[in-house]
Amino acid sequence: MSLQLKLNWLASNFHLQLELELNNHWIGVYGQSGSGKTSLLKAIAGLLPAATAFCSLDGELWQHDCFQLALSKRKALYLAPDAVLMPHKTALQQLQLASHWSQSTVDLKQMIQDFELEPLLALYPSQLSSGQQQKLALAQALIAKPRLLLLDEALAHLDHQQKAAVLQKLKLYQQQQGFMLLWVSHQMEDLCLYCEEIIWLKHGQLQRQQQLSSPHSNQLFYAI
Amino acid sequence: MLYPAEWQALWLTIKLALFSSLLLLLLTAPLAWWLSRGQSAGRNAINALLTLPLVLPPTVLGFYLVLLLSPDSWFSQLLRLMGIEALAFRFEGLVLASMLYSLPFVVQPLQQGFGQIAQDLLNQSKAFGANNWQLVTQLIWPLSRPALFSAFILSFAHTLGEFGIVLMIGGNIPGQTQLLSMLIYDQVESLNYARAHLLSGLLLLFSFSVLFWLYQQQRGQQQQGQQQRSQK
Repeated sequence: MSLQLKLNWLASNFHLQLELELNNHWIGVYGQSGSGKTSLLKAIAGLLPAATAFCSLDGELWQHDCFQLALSKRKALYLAPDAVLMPHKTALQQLQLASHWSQSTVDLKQMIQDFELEPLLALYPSQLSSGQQQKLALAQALIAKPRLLLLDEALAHLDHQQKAAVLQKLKLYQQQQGFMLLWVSHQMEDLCLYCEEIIWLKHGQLQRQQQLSSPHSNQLFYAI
Repeated sequence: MLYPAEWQALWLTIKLALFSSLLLLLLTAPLAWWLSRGQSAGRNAINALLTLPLVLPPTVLGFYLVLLLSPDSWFSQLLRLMGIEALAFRFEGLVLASMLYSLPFVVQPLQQGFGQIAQDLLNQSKAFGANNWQLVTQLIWPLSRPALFSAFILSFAHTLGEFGIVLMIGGNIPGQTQLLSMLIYDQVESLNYARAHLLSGLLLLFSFSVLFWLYQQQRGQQQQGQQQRSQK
């Protein structure tokens, strides 16, 4: 997969200027707060059209000048730190709707089992903890079979043990479905464990783009 | 208990309130949706325009409506081209006037209700692949039902209490434009306090019940929300 992106955005106190080409499947995004990580992910998802000068995935044009591909055709799912869920639907209904809307063939039962969602199915989002909400949002996204999954601290509310389990499953689904994943996290250890490539942002600019030769073994990034 | 003329006025009042509230909801929902989706000078101008009936005396609105609905105005001539008679002193004219008069009572609750549907949620649903019809039926309709409901009740109750405009453009014709509020005015003018008491009491009781019920409904929803949160 190949994602090409050019951002240029001048906000009141922030200048985002980036040119990127990404070819790996697991990409970590690292940087201080306010360095433009969220803006980068939102721009790719099509939520910041004013900031995006150019965006294409595998040669398919997503945005260029005035042209903008509809959100429903991109299959790029952005997951915010605070999960966005429908307040009037139970967990099960959310999963079913995501499956229905995306005309997905993914096995719902398997997904529920994989992410241990059974006890939550009858509950509304307001009854879930923030970690449970994040797990639900991730499962919902995976059901929709994204081409691009954009995780913005989207696992940060999970405890250590749960996060490891969820990441294992996420890895599995990524291998099955073959989507590209951009993962914003402040946990450099996590990024080094799972990612094939890490991009480091600073003050809205690309500070460094680093291939990790093979995940799990690479210690190089600790040195930076 | 009530005389036929009073029944007639009561029925006409309720009919007017129903018609104008339903029409107003249908016509302004798209506008309120647009207004709720962001900030701009254009939106502010339209908001100000829509709030005018709240601050203007009904006589001002009534005066312009008299001009607009009179048989030789451009509006009436346009209607005549479409085969519709001038609306002055007719029930249809009252519907139009009530709709203008109740505009802010419908648009503001709708706008608020729509505004609470997060843009993030809509965007995410679109990204999942939901089409517009699915967005409306699965998200927007269920989430804005309470707002639609209170907008309707507010407009309905407000129309019941309409007087100034009706006085100016209605003509007080029994069965056509004579509303309960007009009838009460007539009774007071002719010092018939017993009937005025009865009709005023009726309107007071009804309006109070509607508003009380509305507040109960809103409180019920809030409590439900709190319960859900406390179960966590």
